[in-house]
Amino acid sequence: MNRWYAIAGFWLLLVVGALVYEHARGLGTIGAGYVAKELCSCVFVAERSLQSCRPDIPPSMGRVEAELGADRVRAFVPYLAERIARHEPPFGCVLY
Amino acid sequence: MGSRAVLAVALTAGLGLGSPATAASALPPQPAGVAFPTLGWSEGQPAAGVDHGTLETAVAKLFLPVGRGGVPDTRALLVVQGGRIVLERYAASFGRASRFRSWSMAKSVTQCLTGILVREGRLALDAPAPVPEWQRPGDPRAQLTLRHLLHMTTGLDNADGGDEGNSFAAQLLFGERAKDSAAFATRVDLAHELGTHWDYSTGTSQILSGIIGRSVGGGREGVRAFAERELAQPLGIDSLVLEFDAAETLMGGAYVWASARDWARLGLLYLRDGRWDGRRVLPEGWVDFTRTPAPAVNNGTYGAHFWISGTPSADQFSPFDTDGGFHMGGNAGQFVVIVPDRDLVVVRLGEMHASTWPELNAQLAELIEAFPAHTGTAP
Repeated sequence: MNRWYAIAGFWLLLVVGALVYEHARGLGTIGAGYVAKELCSCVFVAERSLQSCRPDIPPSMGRVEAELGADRVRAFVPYLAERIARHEPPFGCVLY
Repeated sequence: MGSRAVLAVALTAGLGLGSPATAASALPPQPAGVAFPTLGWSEGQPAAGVDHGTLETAVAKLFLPVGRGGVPDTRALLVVQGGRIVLERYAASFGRASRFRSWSMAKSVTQCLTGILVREGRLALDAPAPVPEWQRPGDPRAQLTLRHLLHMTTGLDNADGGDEGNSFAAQLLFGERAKDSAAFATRVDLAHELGTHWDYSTGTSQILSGIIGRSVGGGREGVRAFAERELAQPLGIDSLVLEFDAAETLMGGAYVWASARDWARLGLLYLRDGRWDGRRVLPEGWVDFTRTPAPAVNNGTYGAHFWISGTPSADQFSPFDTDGGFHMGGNAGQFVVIVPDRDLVVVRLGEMHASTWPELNAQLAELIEAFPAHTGTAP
């Protein structure tokens, strides 16, 4: 009997874990998208420094890391999500 | 529907733009001797009758550093009275050349571009909204019109609210579906009977953006060229940046950039009833349509992609008790306020890291009230 409980518990944990991961991945994708788009436009359209732009990102996005490239910003939550916003003048930044 | 058919509907039905439901102030003309700021802004002192003490206090509070009891993070403040700039101030490291993001003030720019297309007869307010996905037989969304979209009374299940981090708007702007925002916003069902229920919706502005793109043609280059030719160049706007999604749809719900002086030009266009230096940019009656409340049981503060001032509400974008006033409003305290009875345009741009909407609303109301009603500017 205990064996069946263990198997059921394992599968339950697996399903819950998958749901939690999927939810977190969705939020991470949106967070990375927000940071990539906002920082790209701030740097390339408003022509501000990355250092001055970063404080405009809400603290709730603090776990999203960002890298500035020559024409883009890559934002990511490690092991979860990654987005790129690219500067395509004269059309501002486009989120991919 | 082809452009000729749209024109025919517009001509036979009339624009039906109407006038404000309330006895709102008339829109004042540009004072004689003050040029429209196409080539450059006239500058002057505030007119006689301005309460300078109140004005200085309000301005000082708007620029107080974080944590000092005011509304921090105002980065640009500009007041146009009688067609002249009478007050202009920037936070350190910002200036006249700085571009500021619109957030939802972009919705009002989208409304402006829509108005130009209506004036040209390429769109009609009460014709079925030209959205191909809605034209299948039996689809109730086929009855939706531009008027419904501009009023945000579509009844579509695409309201901004909900879980902030995972809301419809967040998915639309930043999620995977942001790559084709108009398609995402269009493929929703009705949640309410159309035309009866108001919901603030960035998705609806993206549907309008898709309509603008199809009407103009030529992808993002076509939309940009249209906006430059029909709006930016006539008004002397040189800082405008329209942003687009990966499918080349204008991000007309949230992403337009311009300098404070150019945001003021857009405000002045509406204050002057859609006319600019003798040229009609927006259709006759469009600005009154803009500042008339959308007819929905749960609305009192929203017109046609503009917020209406002076309607008591706890809503974040409805702070001002002005007669016939209306404004563009955006996240983090972006404002272009148009106050006809004071012949005023007030632009406030910046952030709101450590303040609240009631605080910012109160400071801006104090600033506006420092200007008297029905005056001109000092020579």
